[in-house]
Amino acid sequence: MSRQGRFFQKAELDSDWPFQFLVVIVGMVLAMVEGGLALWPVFYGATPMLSLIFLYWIALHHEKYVLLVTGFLIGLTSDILFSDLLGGRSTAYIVMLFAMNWRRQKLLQGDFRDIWVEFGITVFGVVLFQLVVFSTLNLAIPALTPVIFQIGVTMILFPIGYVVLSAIYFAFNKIRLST
Amino acid sequence: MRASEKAKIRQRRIAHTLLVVFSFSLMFLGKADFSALRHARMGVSDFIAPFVDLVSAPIRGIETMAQGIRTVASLRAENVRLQAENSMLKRWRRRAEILESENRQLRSVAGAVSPDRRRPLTARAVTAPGGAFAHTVLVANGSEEGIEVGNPVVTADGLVGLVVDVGATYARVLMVSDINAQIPVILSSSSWPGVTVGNNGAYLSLRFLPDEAVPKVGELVLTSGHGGVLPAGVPVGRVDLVQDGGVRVQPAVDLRNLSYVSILVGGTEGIDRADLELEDYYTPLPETEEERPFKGVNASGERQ
Repeated sequence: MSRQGRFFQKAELDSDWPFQFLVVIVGMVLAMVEGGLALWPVFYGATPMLSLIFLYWIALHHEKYVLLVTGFLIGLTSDILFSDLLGGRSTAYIVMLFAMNWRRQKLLQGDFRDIWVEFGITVFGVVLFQLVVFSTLNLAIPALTPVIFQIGVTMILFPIGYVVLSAIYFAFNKIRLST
Repeated sequence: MRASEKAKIRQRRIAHTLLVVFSFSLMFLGKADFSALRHARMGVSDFIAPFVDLVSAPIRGIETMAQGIRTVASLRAENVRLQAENSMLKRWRRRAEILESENRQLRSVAGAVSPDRRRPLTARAVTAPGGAFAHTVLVANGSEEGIEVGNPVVTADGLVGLVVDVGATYARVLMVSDINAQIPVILSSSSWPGVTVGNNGAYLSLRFLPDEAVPKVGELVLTSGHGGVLPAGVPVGRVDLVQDGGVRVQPAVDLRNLSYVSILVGGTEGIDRADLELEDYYTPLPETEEERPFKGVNASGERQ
């Protein structure tokens, strides 16, 4: 009788890895889109943080697809392309993901307004963290108008991003269930 | 809980801690400007930049379309403005020809060395500053085209910045508006030296002006050429506001709307950015009137 080793074990077809990888790729692409938006004079020097909106939404509703390294890689892409401060945004994103672990349950029980307010605090925290580290390392404070504009425009775009991401998720889910 | 699960959780915690420490320390390592890290960063930028270019293409297309619509809408007004500008430029051209001839004569009298000839290389801006913490752009040309660290980047309007990182096919340009950009300049009418400093905003501040200097609003600010990295006489901006707190300069180039730039290649021979010492390249301007060699010399080169 022949031996049946691990080659005959059932394949794990519902692994989270492909989705986790996809989240990293989409986040990186959104970080690149942020850079593209800077080509519009209106967003010059202060683009909305689309990658943060995406990361926040995923971390809130599908936490199993977001690892800490996801935040690190998305933030690092952004840092490499557009920032003087390598590691600034990636550290802020990691801290944000840590914080989401504590706040998730409470937020999911609240309404959208709670989520939006919490997101506002998150955006403010991410930018403030970068500002503090940047000012400490450069011994200079940058112009604050673009910083405030960036926070404001990211907060304004959050509900739109939230609805778009939810719609995409439901559409994909519907396709998956029908096949 | 089983022992294997406990070990797994412990491993995950250690991995998370290491990731946070690594990410945090990256900020300091990046600021310490290690060449290995700089090269790694530029290598990654080289790899990512084509994707950024691809992702930005539709956005750039929309911007071009919007610009086209704006242009068509303002065609009549633009035509009138251009006619007026054309007649003014013709007058300036005549004036420039006279001044050029005068300048040539003066140079021959003084035995001055001609400024170095740098080769302009047109490059497309792939990105624009996306955050408030850095004003840098990636341009689609690199060391393969002969670009080096320190090459000035200009447009027809004036100075954009200088190359700070070079990859094989992409280069990073530090713009004059960046907080780390400090450009040695002179005021065009009085020749007083100063330094423009960016603040990651729309304006630059003009610092280190002598107490005697009286900058006027609208006065042109030009590169002085001190340090040898940038050529002299490139417009940096115009004095926009003079207050007790300082002098504000509006950049000569509309930095929000950069599509193509010229990189002035060559002319940095002998300048090693890694060992750039201020003392080696700083040449003070003449301090007293007596030291100015052209004072009292007319267009024919004779002292009056």
